[in-house]
Amino acid sequence: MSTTVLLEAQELTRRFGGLVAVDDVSLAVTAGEVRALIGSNGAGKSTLVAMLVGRLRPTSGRVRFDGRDVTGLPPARRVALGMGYTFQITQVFPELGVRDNITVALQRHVPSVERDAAVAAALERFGIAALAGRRAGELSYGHRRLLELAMATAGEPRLLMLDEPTQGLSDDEIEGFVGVVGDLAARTTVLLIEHNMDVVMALATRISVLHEGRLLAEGTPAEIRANADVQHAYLGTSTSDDSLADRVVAGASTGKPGS
Amino acid sequence: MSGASPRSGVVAPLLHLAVPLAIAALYPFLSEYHQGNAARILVLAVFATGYNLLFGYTGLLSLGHALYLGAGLYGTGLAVTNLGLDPALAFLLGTGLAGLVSLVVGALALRTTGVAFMIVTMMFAQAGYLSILHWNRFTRGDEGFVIPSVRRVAGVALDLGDPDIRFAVALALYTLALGIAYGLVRGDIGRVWLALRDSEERVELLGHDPVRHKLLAFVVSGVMAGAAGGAYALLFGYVGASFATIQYSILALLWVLVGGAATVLGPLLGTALMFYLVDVVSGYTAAWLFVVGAVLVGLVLLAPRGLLGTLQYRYRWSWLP
Repeated sequence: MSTTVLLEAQELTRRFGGLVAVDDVSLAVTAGEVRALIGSNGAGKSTLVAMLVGRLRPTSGRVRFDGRDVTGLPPARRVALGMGYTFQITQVFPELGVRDNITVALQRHVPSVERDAAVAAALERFGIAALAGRRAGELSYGHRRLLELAMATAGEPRLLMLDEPTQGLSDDEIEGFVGVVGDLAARTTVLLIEHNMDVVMALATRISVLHEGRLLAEGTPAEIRANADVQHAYLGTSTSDDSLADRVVAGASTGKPGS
Repeated sequence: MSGASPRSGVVAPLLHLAVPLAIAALYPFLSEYHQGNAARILVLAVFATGYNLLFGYTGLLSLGHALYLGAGLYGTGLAVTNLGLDPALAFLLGTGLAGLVSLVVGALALRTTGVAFMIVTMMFAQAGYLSILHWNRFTRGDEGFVIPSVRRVAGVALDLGDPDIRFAVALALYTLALGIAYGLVRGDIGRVWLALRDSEERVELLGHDPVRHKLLAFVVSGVMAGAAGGAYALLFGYVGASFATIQYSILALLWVLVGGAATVLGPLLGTALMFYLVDVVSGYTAAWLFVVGAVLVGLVLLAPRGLLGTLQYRYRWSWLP
């Protein structure tokens, strides 16, 4: 694996009034890795990623992408530079057909004569070719997730940011999703915000743990599993976090999703 | 509009080409009264076709497009009467003026969304209307002014007051607007416009600049409104402040809704139907506005997608743009 830093957060802080949602977080994602960002609800994961992709301006700190300072760039410019993003709550274009959804995503990158083939390839890759003639609003939630992923990857981004992609999916769908993202990881760098520890353990090469807006720990899955601070942070708060901590340990032992 | 398969690419262009040809073929069989109406409808349909790009395709509800209709109308009319310009030149000037005004208002109004956008566009239009009344030394205010027929001869001898020439020019202008609208909505820009209507955030995170695309829709619709206004002044020889009132902003919305928002031919259909509905009803009662209101309410309840929009949705005519 190369050691080129693709995405770098430098001392990022975001305040909402008196609340410090993200507090002085520095993070470096290396090209080729699958980085998982975990933490309990309210830890600041989504806020952090929103700053990385440009949906939110940081109160202070910088974001660098591929060696370039992108802190002041709007999301569209960052996407043009090679970022891809899927929303926590799936957002496709319900009134458009499945094909047009993907065409909107790749028309900036693919010349018109090659588009039909590129759209067909994207549909095939995510196993939704049979739904090509449908309106996106008619798809099931799981299929919409796959469509959004097809859209986010249509421009061949160098960094793919997935904000809680398995939320709302069934166990079967999650298993399929892990397979798809695993395939994508061979071609692109992935930043994965995820609650489901089975998914994290199955996919991540490195894990960053956020707790109350701060970076608590960072390391390989094995290191995070063994980290006393992480266990303490999860065990010390609410009951839902207990289960998360349990699953850090349990998921690590099986290493399989959907178990 | 959605998911058109590559093979269905012949029917739609032929249909859209057939409509202006059919209107031209029908013209000699119409009575003089209906011939005049046809010209009027075609000019107003240019206004509605542009409005549809903004409202129907991009999902931006402007309540102030009478401003650009009025800018084209007065820009052209005053250039002919006060500056003595050739009608063709005056038309370009009036249309350009409408484009410029829509660029400025659009850049400001697009800083807002939703209800605020509706209100901001409406307030600018009201300011425009009141300006027309205020400068009544030039505009003749509410009363308006008539462009004498000698001033409506373009070039060497194209008499725009002649009924046949009037119809031909109106049809040519509508056909041009139809072609532009068709090309835009079938292309990359139209796909982004439709996507913006669904989710602006998603569009932005696919690498498209939402503000630039929205502003383009705003200006194209403003230019088409201006062209309609300019053509109206020249073809019918009357320039009046009533065209800049909020009523015309609402009428554009109504015509598009009746015909089918986000269908290229819908605005013409809606304009023609409402024109004749008002024409027939006002023969019986002075309360024709009541009928217009009733149609709008019935439409929202029974066919919120409008006539062509309902066909397109219900029968999955995804080839129909």
